[in-house]
Amino acid sequence: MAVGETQVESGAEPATKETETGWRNTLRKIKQDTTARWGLYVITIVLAITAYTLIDGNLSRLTFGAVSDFTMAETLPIFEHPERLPPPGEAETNLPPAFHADGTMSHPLGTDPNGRDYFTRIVYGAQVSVSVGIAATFLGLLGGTIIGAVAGYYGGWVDDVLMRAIETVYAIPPLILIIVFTVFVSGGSPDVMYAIVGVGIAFIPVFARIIRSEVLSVREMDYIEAARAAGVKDRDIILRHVIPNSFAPVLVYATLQIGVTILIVAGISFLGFGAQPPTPDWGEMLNTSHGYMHSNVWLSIWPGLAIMITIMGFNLFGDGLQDALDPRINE
Amino acid sequence: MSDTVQDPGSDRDPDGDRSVIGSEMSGEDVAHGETLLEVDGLKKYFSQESGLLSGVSLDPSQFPPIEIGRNRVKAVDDVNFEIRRGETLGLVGESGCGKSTLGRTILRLLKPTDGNIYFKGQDLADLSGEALRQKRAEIQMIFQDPQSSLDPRMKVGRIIEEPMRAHGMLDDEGREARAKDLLEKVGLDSRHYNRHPHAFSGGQRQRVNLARALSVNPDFIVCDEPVSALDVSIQAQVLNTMEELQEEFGLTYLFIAHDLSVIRHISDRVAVMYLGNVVELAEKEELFENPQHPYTEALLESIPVPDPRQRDARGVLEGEVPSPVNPPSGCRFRTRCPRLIAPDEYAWTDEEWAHTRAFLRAVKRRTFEPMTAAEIEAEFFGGELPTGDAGEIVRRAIDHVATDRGDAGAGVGAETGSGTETESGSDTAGGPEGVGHPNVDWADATELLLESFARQSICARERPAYEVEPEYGTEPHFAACHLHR
Amino acid sequence: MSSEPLLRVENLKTQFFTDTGTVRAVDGISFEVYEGEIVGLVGESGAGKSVASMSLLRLVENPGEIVGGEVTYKGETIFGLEEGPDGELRKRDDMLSNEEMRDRIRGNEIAVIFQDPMESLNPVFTVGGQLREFIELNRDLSREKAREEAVDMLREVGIPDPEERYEEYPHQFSGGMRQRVLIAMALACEPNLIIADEPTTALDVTVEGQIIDLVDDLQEKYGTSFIWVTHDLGVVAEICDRVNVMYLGEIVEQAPIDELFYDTKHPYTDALLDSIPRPDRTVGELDPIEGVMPEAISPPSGCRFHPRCPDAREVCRRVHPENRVVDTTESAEPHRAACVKHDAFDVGYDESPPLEKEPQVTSEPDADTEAGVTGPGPGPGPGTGTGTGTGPGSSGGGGEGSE
Repeated sequence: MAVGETQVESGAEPATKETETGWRNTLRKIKQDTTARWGLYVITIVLAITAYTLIDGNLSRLTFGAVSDFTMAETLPIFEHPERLPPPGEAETNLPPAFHADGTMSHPLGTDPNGRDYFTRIVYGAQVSVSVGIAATFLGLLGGTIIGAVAGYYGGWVDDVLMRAIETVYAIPPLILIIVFTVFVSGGSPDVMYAIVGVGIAFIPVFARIIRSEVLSVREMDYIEAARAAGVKDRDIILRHVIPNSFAPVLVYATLQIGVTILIVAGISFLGFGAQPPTPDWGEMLNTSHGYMHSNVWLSIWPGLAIMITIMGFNLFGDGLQDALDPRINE
Repeated sequence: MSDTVQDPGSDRDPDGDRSVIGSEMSGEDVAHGETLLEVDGLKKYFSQESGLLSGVSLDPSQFPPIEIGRNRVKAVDDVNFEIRRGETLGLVGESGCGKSTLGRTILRLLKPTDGNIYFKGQDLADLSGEALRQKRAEIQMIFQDPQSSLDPRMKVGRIIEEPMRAHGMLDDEGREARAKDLLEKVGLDSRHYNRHPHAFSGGQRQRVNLARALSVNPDFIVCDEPVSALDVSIQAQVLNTMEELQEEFGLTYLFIAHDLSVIRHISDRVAVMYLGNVVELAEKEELFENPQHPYTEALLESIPVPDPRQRDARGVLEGEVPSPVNPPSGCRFRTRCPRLIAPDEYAWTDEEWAHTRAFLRAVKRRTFEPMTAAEIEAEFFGGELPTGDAGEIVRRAIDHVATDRGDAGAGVGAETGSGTETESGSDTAGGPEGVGHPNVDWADATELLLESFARQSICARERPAYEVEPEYGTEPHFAACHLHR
Repeated sequence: MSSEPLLRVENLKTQFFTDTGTVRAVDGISFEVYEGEIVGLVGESGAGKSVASMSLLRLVENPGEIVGGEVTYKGETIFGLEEGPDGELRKRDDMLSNEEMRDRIRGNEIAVIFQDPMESLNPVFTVGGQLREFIELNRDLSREKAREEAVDMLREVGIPDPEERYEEYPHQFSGGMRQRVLIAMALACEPNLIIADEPTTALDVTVEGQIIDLVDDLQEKYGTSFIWVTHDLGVVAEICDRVNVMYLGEIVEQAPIDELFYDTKHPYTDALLDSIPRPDRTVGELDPIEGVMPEAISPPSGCRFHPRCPDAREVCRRVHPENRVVDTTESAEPHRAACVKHDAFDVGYDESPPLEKEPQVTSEPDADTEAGVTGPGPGPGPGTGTGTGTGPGSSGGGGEGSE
């Protein structure tokens, strides 16, 4: 009996050299990687905050389209309403943070030039910044994956046409593309939604190219041909075999890209094409605060810090993910 | 058409999973021993370039003045054979001979350039799209590489179920039951259903491959080098299983391999391919014991036999396989054939022709160092040139390549001499250091010899196709060699 | 055959230290290579034959390490350990340094030919350039001299028109031609020993024949010794003078070529010979070896082949046989085998009850065993006439009938 067992063991667990064998393995590697773990912590916190603000009734423009009267901000005493302007003269404007001599504990990060609580605005700013960053990246990922997979899988003229189109988009500087898109599509009233779509479109080419190059090697694998020989429909082959097997590198890239997207969205908002006041957004906050650099530098530091920490989180995680998915790095 | 495209499993009752495995499925229309698949004049050419305007060139000599796809690799060129139900046809050849392409074209994974593939009387070459997809339930494939033929992200159970799902066969439970059943049939365990491919050894993966191919109850399986990636002892295990399954399910195999031992073991009939053509096709015993094509003979002589008392396996073939872009005319093997037929124009003795042939090949491949005319004569002709016109031509060729006989009156070290040589299309003037001899003109000599001799042979002028009287068995013996004219 | 071997390997052990445990890839092998002979190292994948051959040149990569044994080349110690003052094993003083290995041994004295010629040649340099550089470095020749030598070598290994092909890149060569280039490279410094690691496996049969021919000719001309690593018994039969059969890190049989095939002493060799289809005759039913080779990380107890062995008895599970002389050929060469059924091992094989075969059958579905093998099977092969030492092989009959 012992015989059979040793053989089962050895057959079933060649363990060491296995690569790319399921997400469980990847997850295990990430857990072992200190850098990735810290990235994961940061992301988790940022995402938790974002989720909180999203559940909150304040997510005016992103989901319900209207400002809800009920806000969790008002149920939790530490928050004020992030958008509502206090009546003139009632609140102190441009308060420095609490640890500053002039600061107060009721406004831990101070107040903005309109007298709104800056901590609340930073927290609620995550709503737009992070969710837009993720949504735009996801949009680019989705479009890029479909286009790249189709182009790579079919090859020939399909590939030619799609990739030439992609290259055309790629040739336009992203910021210009986004601005032009927002301005024209929105018909002069810029909004976060347009920014998401614009950024998403601008990112499609990069994702499409990564996916395509992966697909080009995956499609040479015998299991793709096996599926074709078995009579599996092209759509199913792409969805079940091609994309899952070429997704790893693009996933890494997407994780890293979220950071970049957040930065770009902030940039757009800073330029005034993204989130519009009074919606809190880190980029928009930077935009409004730059006029107060001399009087209250903290107005610029807080949103800057928020952006930096978030991006760092995603980057650390992305690096870890890359290592975890790289078959060459073992141990 | 409609009678054959029906899903093989759709008329089964889904709960009788045992019975679903039964062998008598959709192929009742072709009886055992009758032709199941016939390949007729099949061609598959590949264009070498890719891109939007690939292969399009301007040709002012015709109307419209556009030429498409001149430089095409003739991977499979005019192949004819038939496969009978229940038999194994072995397809053997060296790498690049087009055997895999042929297999994939028959499966219609590639679109044939020309020709027909009749499967149960229906031309697969005509099919496309959905009709072709549905047809795939009847023809399956097993791949060479046990690593890459199974999706690493899918569990074995789903891999085996995938073809059934694609053809709408059975319901979820039925498929699972059948997959588990098949796992046991191919010598695995139904408990392996939930494992990923990486948990299996190469031989086991090949078994999963078998189970997947069998899942839709095909009649015909193309096996592309199914055991060549496996260790010898595992090879035998898998081969045995394949034979048992063939018997149990009444399968028909097209077994593609480069290993003649494996082919000899598993095939009923064997086809030998060389450079896109089938050069010989006969019953197994006949082919191995009574080969009638020089290429087959050469192949058989080359295999190292696992017996130290038979140390005769040797490299009997010279040179390399020519490019399939521009294959030799007539018989494709003629450029390497040790038995190239002498052109009728000259009166030869066998010995004279043998000498001349050897000299011709040596000049063409430039396998010898430039030497004096006398040395060449001694080396290749035993000091005696052929008589008559042939001898005259040989002498002229020797003049071209001998170091002591400058043609065009070029003296030693004459720069003009080497200049004209380079013009004539060869760089034999040597490397930068000028090691080559200035009055040696390989290209002219080659051209002269080829034009006078090789291209005059019947082997170059006509495409051979002969039927030979078999010594073993009664099957017809096809040999594409003019020696049998 | 001179009395002093060119290369002597004694009890060589190479292990890989991985997360999941220590892989004993090479576990105490001993063999000699004499001047001018071709010694085969045969085994299936995972048998450790490649690791063994690389260990000879101390080219084992992390996490692998040579942990024991001695390798002597022409009296010089390539690898050797001694016990230090504190009982620790340490490298011997007379062991060649890494520099000496690199400058004097590798390439100059012992050269290697790899399986995949494409990977051994750099695709961005010309074939001739690479060969020239190799010669320049190893033989201390001037550039021009080295170039001439390179062209000569290319011609020597049968590359037509070497002057012209000198300037070409590896991708312009066919597989067979590339292998010829590697042989030229290996021969360039006229080494005394060439380790050929599956040199013909990637080639077509007709090309393989050409290469074997070439090696034969060159060997005759230069008198180079070869260690020929392969899994192909056909090639072994064709070219080798003596053969070492490896199984799971050990040499299980060591014999001159004719004795190995006609007077097989180890059941594994026998089973291997029975399981291969033959090119020269039609074999009705193949007789595969049951199961798969276990992982070297957890080898079976006793004889490592016993779980798959048709001759296994109870004693095989307990006793681990070392490779021992079990017979002597007419030319007084030893025939070694690691199987306790021979008289040389007096461990009570004959009295030992045969191993129950049931475990094999029940384990079948789990292991890579065959649906085909029904039960214990009559097991043709070596089976029955054990212990007599007169060649129980099924084929050879009288055994020592070699010329």
